[in-house]
Amino acid sequence: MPLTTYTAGEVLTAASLNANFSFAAANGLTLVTAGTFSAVTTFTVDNVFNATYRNYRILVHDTQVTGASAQVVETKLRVGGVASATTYFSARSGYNFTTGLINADVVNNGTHWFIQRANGSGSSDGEGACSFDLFGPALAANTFFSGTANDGAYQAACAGYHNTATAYDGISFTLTTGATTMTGIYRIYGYQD
Amino acid sequence: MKICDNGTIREMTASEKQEQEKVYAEAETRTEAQAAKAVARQAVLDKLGLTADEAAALLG
Repeated sequence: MPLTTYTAGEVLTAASLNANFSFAAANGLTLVTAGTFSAVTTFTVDNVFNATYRNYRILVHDTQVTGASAQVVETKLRVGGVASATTYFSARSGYNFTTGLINADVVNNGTHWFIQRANGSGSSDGEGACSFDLFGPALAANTFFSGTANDGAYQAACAGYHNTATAYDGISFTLTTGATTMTGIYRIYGYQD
Repeated sequence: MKICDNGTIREMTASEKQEQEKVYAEAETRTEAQAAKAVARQAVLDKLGLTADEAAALLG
């Protein structure tokens, strides 16, 4: 049933209102899970990808990263609580806010995706964020992603795929520099088909 | 070393720590390789007597 638009003076029935709620619930993005993490080197989200949604939008905001600047946040797909550590391909091109110089980061058949860089407290603001779409992670097929990211130094566009025909149910984000931690929030939404 | 495991923050298990150390080591190796590549590139530029901008203009 299509969305009903009401006009002034029209009588609003319960059935019509409920139909509008059903319409809203069956379309667009639906929050699947949300959480926070505090002073950790890794955060994982499991049992989040399944047959309910084919594609997902993921938001991560590292509101505080300690330690060395310009840290890579590695992203991996997981199933049954175990991360896949092979056959990742990704490319990330970033523009430096100050210099305008381009920085390219490529993962060629590597152990992770490189989506996000997070600045440590030694640099401008100790923050980082990314927003990306994940295509078909719960399908027994290659998984693709595309999105954007930024930190205190760069804005970046990134995309990639995982060249393994496996269905995954989770994802992890890991800092790659020792003695550093991250604090922040994550949100995962499912796209209604 | 802490992990946020599906919303629960806890100390990493021994195997998780081992995995994290592996990530650190791999990242270190990549960083060293990039640094070595930069040194090699600079050595070639020095040999040719070019700046990085001049080389970019030449190749662009």
